[in-house]
Amino acid sequence: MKEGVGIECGDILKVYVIVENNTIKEITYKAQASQITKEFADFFINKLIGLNIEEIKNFPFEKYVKEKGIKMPAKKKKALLFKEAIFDALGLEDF
Amino acid sequence: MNIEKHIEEIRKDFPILNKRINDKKIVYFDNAASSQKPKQVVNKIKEIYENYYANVHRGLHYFSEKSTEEYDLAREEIASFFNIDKNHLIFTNNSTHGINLVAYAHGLNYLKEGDKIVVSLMEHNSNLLPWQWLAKSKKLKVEYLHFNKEGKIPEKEFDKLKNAKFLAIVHVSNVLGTKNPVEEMIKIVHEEEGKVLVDASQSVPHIKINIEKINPDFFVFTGHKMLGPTGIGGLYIKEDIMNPFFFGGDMVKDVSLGSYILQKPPLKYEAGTPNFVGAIALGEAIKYLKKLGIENIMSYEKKLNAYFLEYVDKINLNLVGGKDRENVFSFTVKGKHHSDIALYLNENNIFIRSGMHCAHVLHKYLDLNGSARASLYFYNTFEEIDYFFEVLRRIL
Repeated sequence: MKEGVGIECGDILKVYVIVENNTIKEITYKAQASQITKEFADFFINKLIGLNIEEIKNFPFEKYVKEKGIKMPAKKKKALLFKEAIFDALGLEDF
Repeated sequence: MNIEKHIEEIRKDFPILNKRINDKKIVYFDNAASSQKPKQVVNKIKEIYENYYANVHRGLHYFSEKSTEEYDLAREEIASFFNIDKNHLIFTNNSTHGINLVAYAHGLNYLKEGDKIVVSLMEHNSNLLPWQWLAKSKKLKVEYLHFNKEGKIPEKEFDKLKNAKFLAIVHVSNVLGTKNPVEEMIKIVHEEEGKVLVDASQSVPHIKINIEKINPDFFVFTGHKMLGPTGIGGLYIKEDIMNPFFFGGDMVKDVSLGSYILQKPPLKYEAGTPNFVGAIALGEAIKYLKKLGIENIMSYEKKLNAYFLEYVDKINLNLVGGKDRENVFSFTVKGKHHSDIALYLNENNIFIRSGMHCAHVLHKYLDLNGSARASLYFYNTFEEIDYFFEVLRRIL
């Protein structure tokens, strides 16, 4: 199991990822975070199961957040905390 | 001026406070992060750019002369507010800039391996990270002043100040609202010739300050929390015990290949074109505070504080720290994340702050992952406090 964390000024999201044959089999999380962080974690988990690592790397997280109508910059960061955590778990660079 | 009596008149100077969003009034309780600006300050900035904007100090023309004159007057205005000589006031971008300047310009040159420096656990990151960095760079010993449940540093902690070569201490905590007894602490550190920096970011907008009486070696503040624009602040130095860190225009009298002659303070620490528009506007903000009277501000804010704390008692709100505090009220609500509290209040046009407030160590010491924070200023009202608690109660 791979672990990753996303941290944003008092919001902490830890994810636990099971990868088999380069494919995401299971993702769970523990959060000390705002509702929006948890809602987006649930949303993204449903989308990511079954994708391979390369697909995760190119997954349009920001597009989904925008489509959900999240405009406030601080809210966006909280919504995208899951991306930070899963990238951390999978050792992906986001720079 | 009796602020309570003239509050409606005062609030007219701050058009933003009367703004309506979705046809509902707004309540601005995020003053510890930044204050709003009166129209006198906004108009001053407009006046400069429309009437006499030009670079200061060396221009031999009317605009430059006028800008320089206004800039110099602003330094005098601000210095007199703190009862200091204007030549001891260095303009900075903000408190963070001032603290880092001292860490680099004093700390790197005057502190040596093995020296003890002291900071508290209630510091804002801006008054913690530069010292952590300096300690690592120069192999200094760091001791931390702990605080109790009331948010106070107990006197027994003051033993740590003995033999300290440097103390960096916040005047008023941006989370706990605690006002630290800095005069007493400074006396202890000075007994063995240590130096002290006071971070007064949260105190100068609200409390009458006489820097010479407090007697720090370094004292920093920021303009944007006291009605001024962003990007301008100040560093008071009692003595010239720094070596310049920034080099460039305006801070030298003469330059040759391989040598230079520095200006005297404050100019030797103000390399490059200064933020003179910001400084002049901060001078205008200080004029506004002087017109209201800082004692009158303190008196009115004391009443707001008592009124807020009455509600805290009534609903048993869990404050971070004790009740003997300035008008910074950080709190937690069981089962509610601080960001969700802030977002809910925002839906009702009440603007507060949530998170760590750049005080990660403080929150970790209290085993908290953050807090919600309401912070008041003299333009806030009792009615706004009523409304704040009316809305907050809905989610308790």
